[in-house]
Amino acid sequence: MKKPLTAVFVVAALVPAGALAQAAEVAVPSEAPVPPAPPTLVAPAPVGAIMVHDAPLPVTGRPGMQLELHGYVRTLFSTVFNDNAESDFVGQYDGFQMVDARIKVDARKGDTRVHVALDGAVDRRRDSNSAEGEIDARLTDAFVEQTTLGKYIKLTAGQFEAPYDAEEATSTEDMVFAEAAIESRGVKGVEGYNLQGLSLDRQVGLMLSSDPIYFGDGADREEGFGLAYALSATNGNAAGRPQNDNEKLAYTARLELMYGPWITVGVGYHMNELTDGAPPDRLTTERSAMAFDLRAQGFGAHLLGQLMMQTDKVKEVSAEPEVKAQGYHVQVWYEAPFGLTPAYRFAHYDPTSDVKADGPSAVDRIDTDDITVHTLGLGACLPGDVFKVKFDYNLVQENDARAVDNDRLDVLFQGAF
Amino acid sequence: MRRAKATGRRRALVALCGLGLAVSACENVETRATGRQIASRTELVGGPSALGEVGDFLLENDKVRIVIQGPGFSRGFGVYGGSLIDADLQRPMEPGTPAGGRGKDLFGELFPVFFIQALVPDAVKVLSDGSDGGSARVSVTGTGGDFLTLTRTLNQVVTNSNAQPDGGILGLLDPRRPETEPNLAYEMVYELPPGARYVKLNASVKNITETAIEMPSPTVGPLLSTLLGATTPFQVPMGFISLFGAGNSVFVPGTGYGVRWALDDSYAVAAEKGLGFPALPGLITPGLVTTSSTGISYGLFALPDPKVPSFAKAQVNAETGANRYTETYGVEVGDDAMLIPFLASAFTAVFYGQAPAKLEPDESFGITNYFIIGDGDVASVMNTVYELRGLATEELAGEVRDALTAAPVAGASVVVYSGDAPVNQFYTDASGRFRGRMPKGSYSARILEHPMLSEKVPFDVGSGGQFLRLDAPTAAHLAVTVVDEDGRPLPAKVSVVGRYGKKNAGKEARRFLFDTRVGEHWRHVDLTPDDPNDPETLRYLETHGFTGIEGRVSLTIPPGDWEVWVSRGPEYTVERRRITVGAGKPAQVAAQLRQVLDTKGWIACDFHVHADPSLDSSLPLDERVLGAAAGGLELLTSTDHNFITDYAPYIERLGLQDFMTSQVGLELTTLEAGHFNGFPLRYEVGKITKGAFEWSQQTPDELFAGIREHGLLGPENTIVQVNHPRDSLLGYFEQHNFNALTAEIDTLMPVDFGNLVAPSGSAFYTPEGESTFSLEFDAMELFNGGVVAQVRNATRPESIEGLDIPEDTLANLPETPGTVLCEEDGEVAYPGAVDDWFNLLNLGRRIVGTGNSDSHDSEDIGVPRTYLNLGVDAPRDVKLPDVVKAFRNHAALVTNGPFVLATVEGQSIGAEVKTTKSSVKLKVDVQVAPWLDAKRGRITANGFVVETFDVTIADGRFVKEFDLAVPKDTWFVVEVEGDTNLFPVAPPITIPPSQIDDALVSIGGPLGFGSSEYGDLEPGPLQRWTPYAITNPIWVNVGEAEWVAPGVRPRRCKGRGVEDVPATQSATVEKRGLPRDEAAEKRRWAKQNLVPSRLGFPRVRHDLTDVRVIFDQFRHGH
Repeated sequence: MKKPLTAVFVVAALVPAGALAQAAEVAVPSEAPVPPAPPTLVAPAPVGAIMVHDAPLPVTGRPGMQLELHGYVRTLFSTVFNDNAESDFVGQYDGFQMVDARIKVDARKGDTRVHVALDGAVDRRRDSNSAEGEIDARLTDAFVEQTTLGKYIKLTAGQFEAPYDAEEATSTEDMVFAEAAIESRGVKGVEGYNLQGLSLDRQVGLMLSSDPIYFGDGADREEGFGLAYALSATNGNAAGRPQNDNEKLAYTARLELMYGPWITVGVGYHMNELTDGAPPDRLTTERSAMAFDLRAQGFGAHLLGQLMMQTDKVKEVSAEPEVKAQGYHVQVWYEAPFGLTPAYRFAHYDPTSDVKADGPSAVDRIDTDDITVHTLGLGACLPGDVFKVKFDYNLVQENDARAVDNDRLDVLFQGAF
Repeated sequence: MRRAKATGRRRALVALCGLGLAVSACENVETRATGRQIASRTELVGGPSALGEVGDFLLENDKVRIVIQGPGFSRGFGVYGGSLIDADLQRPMEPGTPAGGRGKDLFGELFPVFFIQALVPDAVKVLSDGSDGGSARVSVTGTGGDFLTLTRTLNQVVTNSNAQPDGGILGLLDPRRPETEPNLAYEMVYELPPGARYVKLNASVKNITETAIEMPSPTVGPLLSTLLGATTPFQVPMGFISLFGAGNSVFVPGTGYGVRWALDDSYAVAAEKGLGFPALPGLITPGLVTTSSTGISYGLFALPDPKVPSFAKAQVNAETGANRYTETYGVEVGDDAMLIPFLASAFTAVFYGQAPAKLEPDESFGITNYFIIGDGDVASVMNTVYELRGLATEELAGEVRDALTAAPVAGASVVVYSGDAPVNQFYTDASGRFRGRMPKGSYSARILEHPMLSEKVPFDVGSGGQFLRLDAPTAAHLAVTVVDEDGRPLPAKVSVVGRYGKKNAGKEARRFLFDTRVGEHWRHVDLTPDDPNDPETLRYLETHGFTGIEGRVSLTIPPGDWEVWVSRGPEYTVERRRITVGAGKPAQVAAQLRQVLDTKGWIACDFHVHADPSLDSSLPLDERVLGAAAGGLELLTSTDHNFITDYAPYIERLGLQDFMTSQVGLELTTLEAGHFNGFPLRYEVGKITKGAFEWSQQTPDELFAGIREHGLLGPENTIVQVNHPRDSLLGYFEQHNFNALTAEIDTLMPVDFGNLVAPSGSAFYTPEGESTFSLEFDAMELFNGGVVAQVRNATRPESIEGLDIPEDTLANLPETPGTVLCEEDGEVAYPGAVDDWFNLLNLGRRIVGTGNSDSHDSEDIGVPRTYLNLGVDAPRDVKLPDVVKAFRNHAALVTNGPFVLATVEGQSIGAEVKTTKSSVKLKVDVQVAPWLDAKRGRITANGFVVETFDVTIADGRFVKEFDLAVPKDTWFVVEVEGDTNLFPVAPPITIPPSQIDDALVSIGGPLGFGSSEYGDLEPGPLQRWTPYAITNPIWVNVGEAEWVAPGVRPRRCKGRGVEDVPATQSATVEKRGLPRDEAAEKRRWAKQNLVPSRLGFPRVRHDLTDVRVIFDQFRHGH
C-alpha cells in the first residue's frame, strides 16, 4: 500500500489568492494562535514551501520554541463489485478500513523547524490479498529543516518524501479523490491484480530546496514567473529501514516553473540502485524515472495532468530485460457552492510499457498488464473545514487477458485538526 | 494494446453509474485464458520449486498459472526442455521481482512418455494465445529421446521410434551406434481453458514415414512377448512421468498416502497370483493427488476417452476373458483407469493409454490427461475431478477442535474414508475449519494433527451436505534446555525414543507403529533384532529436534513414557532421561554435555548434504543449518542437486557463527552417469539455479571442467568429488563398468544381447567408441550416508546358518569368512568404495577419501563425516583456501564416531614420509566418546592388511605404536571399528528402497530377472550404524627416488570368492592400469558380463532391474 503524504512541502499554490495569502501567514512562526482559515480546497503546491495545516493547535513548549500539533483521521468504506465472484481475492473484503490516523508535531525556533509525524493506522497485512494481519503505528516523517538562507536554500535532514511527482506531493488530507491516481499508487490488495505504483516512498537523507522564487515586478506579490527546486540525496530504500540497502545513494530532483498561482509546470527526476531480497539472493536494479505535470486553475476550476515514466534494469540477471513503466492521469474538479467538489479523473498505467531484451532468444513483449481507471468523485466539506466526505466510483478496465470484475466504490470520511 | 471488446460499452456505463452510488453491476467481465512467451521474470510463477525463466512459456487464466520450459535441456531433474515445470494457483498479489514470481510453486517437472521414451523438443510455441476467448495452447514438438540412455535400445525396440541401424537388429545391440532417422514425431500440447483449474495434457505420436509402423518392432516384439511368456501381444503404454518433488505427499484415492507400500504390496500380489505379462504390476487408480501444507496441491487424472483404450483396461486374460488386474487385484478397471507402475521419491510414472499395434503413414495416436491445481489438500483437487466427471456432490464442511482445550486446530489433516479406503483429505484453516464437496454416501473421518491420530468417526453425506464437529487428540509437550560444561547454551540434538510392546516384537514397524495411509510420518527403529523380553531391542525414534543458539527446543509428543536423548555428535557426551507425560501436560529436561574428544586442529565437515532446493528434499534451509550445528559439524558444504545454495546467511541469521561455517557447493546430478560434488563454488545470484549448469550428454571430463569453471577460488582450487561411486545407477564407477578387481574399465562388445539395457551416448562413449571414464577428480566418497553395504566389498560372513542362499552359489561359496564374494566367472559381486580406493591408491592416484551423510532429512546429518586437518579449531578461523589445501594434502579422516589419528615417524595423515629404513613406526591414536565403542583396528598397506589389533579404550583413549616393514614404497591406511548401535543419535535407514525387484519378479522372475544370485547373502539396504573410521593414507617413500605406485593388488575370482593371484603370476599384473589392451578387455568383458540365468537367458550386470530402479535410487535409500 502506498503511504499517504503529509503536508510537509505543501503550500496552497493553486488555491485562490486569498487563501494563499493566509497560508503564507501561517507559515510564519507566531506565539499567538492562528484563527481557522475559511473552508477551502488545498491543491498541489510548489516544492520546498513549508506548510502545515491551516489551523495548527498551539501546544506548550520550551521557552522560545513553538510547538504545533495537527493531523487527521481517515476512514474508508470500500466495496468492489465482483458480481461473478470469479476471484478468490478481488472484492472479498468489502467494508470499512482505517486508512490514516496521522498525528504531526512541528517544533520551531528561529530558522529551525523539527517535524515528526506518526501514523497509527498503517496496514500491516500478512498478505496483500488477505484480511489477516493488523494495523500498526509507524513513523512517517521525521526531519529537521534549516532556513538560515531564507527561501532560496533550505536544508532538510531526516526521513521525508523527496519531492518528485505532483500526485504524491499533495497532502493526503487535501487530495481531491479518496485515493491517488493509479500510476502513483498502483493497485492494492483485493482491488485487483496488485501493482506497484511509480511514486517514491519516504526515505532517509538530505535535501536542498527552495520556496517559490518569483521574478520581475510582481515578485513581492508572488505574481508572474517563478520557480522552485528540490535536490535530495537519500538512501534509496523504503522508509523505516535502519540502514541503506547498498553502498549507493539515490538522487531525486524536481523543478517547478510557475506563472503566479494559475499555472505550474513541474518535472521530476529520480535515479537509484535498489538492492532487494534476503541474503544470499540480493539483486540490484538500476532505476531511472521521470515525472512531468501541469497544473492550472481559474474561476474555481482546476486541472491536473501528470505523466510518469520509470526504467528498471537488473544488473545481475542477464535474462531479465530492461523494463519501462509508464502511467499518466488527467483530473479536473470544480469548487462548487456549499463545499461540494465534483471531480473526474482518467488514469492509465502500464507497468511494462516497453521491454528491451538482449540475446537471440529474448522476448520483448508483455501486453497484458496495463490498466485504465475512470474515477467519478464528489467531495463535500462541512462548515468548519474539519469533516469531509468523498464519494468515488472507480471504473476499472484491465487488459482483456487479465480482466476481472473489480469496479469499486469508495466513501471516505475524513476529519482533520 | 488490445482493449476489452466491452470497452465502449463500459464507457457508456460510466454515465449510468453516475456518481457511483449504490451501483452493483457496472461491469460484466468474461474470464479469459492466455498463452505467451515470458518476457520478464516478473511474469514468472515463483515458489520454492520454481524453475521458470525468461523465454519459457506461460499459460494462465483467472484460476491458475503454469510455465512450460522452452526447448533445450531440462532446468530441473529431467533431461529435456518442453516440460511443465511450474504450476500454481492464480494469486493476484504484486507482480514478481527480478528474482522471480511470488507464487507457491512446489511442482518439479512433468513430461510425456511413450513406454519410457521422452520427447526431445525441437520447438515450443504458442498455438493459441486465447484471444479468441477459447483455450490457450502451447505446443512442444520433436522426436523421441532417451530419458535414460540405458533404455535406448529397449525404447526403440518397443516403440519402433527410429529406423533400424546398420546391421539390422544386431546393430541395435551396440550402444555406441549413431542415432538413426526417426519414424515417429512427438507432440505435447498444453491446453488451458478459460476459468479452469486444470490443464489438459495432450500427448501424441505420429508416423512420419511412408510405411506403416508397428509397435513394438515386428522383429523384436514377438520375441519379447515369447520370452516373457505373454499370452497376448505386448502393446505399448503411453503416459507421463511426473516429478512432484519431496515437498509434495502423493495421495491416491482408495489407497491414501501409503502409495509406496501399496505398490510393494501390488508387486507381491502380482507375483503370487501371476498377473502375467504384458500386464505390468502396479497400482490401478483413476488418478493421483499430491498435498502440501503450503497451500498448493496437484492432481493428475484421466477421463474416459472412447478414442483411446486404457492400457489397464485393455489387459485382458485371453483364457478367461477377464481383466487381468481385476483377476489379480480384485479392483474394478474403468475406461479412465491409470496404472502407476512405480513411484519413488520425486518420480512418479503414470501409464494411461495403449498405443495401437500399427500406425499408418501420417496416422497419429494420442492421449489426454488432466493436470489439476488445488489449494493444498486433496479435496480441492477432487472438486475439479467431480466437476469434470459430472458427478453430483454435496457440501462437506466441519471444524476440528482440540479434545482437551476445545481450541480450534489449524493445519490438521482430515482424512475421509469410504469403508477402509482413504478417498479424500482436507486441511483445516486458521479457525480449524475445512470445506469441500463429496458424493453422497457413508464415510468416516480421522484427524491427523502431528503426532496425534484420532479414531475414525463415521458420518453420512446426504442431500444438504454435512457439517462435522471433530475432536483432535491432545498431545503432550517436551521442553529441553542444553548447556555445555561451562553452563553456556549449546546447539544439540534431542531424540525422543519410545519402546513398542513385546506383542509386536519381530513385526515390520509400519504394520503396527504408524499408519502411512493416513499420512503419519515414518518412525525409525533401531534395527536390533527384537527380543520380546528385552525392551532395549524394541526401540523406535518418535521424533527429534534441535536446540539453537539459545540452547532450548520444544517438541510436541504423544502422551506416554519416553526416553529423551540429548547429543551433539561424536565429540560430546550424551545424556538420557526417562519422562512420563500426560495429554496437554508439559515435561522438561535439562541436559549438560561435555566435549570429550580432543580434535585440536581438526574441523568436522560434511561435504554432501541437501535441503529443499533439492527436488528430493523438503527440509527448510534453517532446519538444515540448525541440525548441522546441533550435530557438532563445523564446516558444512551445500550440495543440492543441480542447484547452488549458500548457507552462510542462514548461519548468520541463526547466530551460529561461533559453532559452524559453510562453503558453497553443488551436487552435479546426472540421471545415470554419476553424481559429482564441487566446492567451493561461486553463488551466482542472477541465475535461476544460482550457477548450476547443463549436464546432459557431457563426458566426465567436461563435467569436471564445468564444475571447476564455477570455482570460487579458480579452477585449480576447486575440489571435485565423486559421490557414492558404487550406487547401482547413480554411481559413477558402477555405470562406467569400473572393475573392482583391476581398476580398469570394462569395455563393451560391439554386439551383445546384454547391451539391450546399457548406458549409451556421448556421456559414456567417444565418437570412436572409447569409454569417457576419467579419473580427473580430487576426492571420492568412501562412506556415503547410511549405505553401509557400499563401503567395503561384500564378504562371506562368519556364519551362514539359516540363510537362504541359492544352491549353485552355496556350492561355490568360499569357505573362509571375510573372503570377498565374486560373481561366477565375473567380478566382485557387491563392490565397496574403499576397495576401489585402495586400487586407485595402488595405481598412484592420490585421491582423497571422504565420508559424508548425503543427508536429505534432518536426523542423519554428519553421519558419517570428514575431519580435515586445518590447524584451527574455531569455525570463524576456517579459510576456504586452507580447506582446499587440506584436500591437496590428503589431511582427512572419515568417521561416524571414533576419532582416529595416525602418524608415521611423527608425520600425520596425508604426509609422504621419506625413509631409508626397512621399517617404520606407525602410531595409532583412537579416541571415542563414552556412548560409543571402538573394538578392532586394521592397518592396510598397499591394499594388503598388514596388522590387525584390538582396541582397548582407557580413559577414552587408545594409543599403540606398530613397527611395520616397508620393503618398498608404501601407503598405510588405518581402520577402526566398534559394535555400538548409533541409534538414536544416528538412526539407520529403515525405509528400504522400493521393491522394484518384486515387480520384476512378478513379470520375469522365472526368467532370471530381478532375482539375486546370493539370496540372503546380498547386502541389504537396511543396516544399522556401528562405529567406523578410516584415515587417509600416509605415504612412505623408501629411498631417494619418487614414490612408485605398487600397482593393483593382483586378484581374481575363483568360484564365488576372490583370491590373490600367486606372486609368480602377478609380476606382470602389477603393471596394469589404465589404459590396457582393448582386445583382451573385450574378451574378458564378454566372459564377465554374460552370466547365465537359471533358464539360460543371459543376465547382465545392467539388467532390467536398473531400468526401473533408477527412480528409486535417486535417493539411494535416504
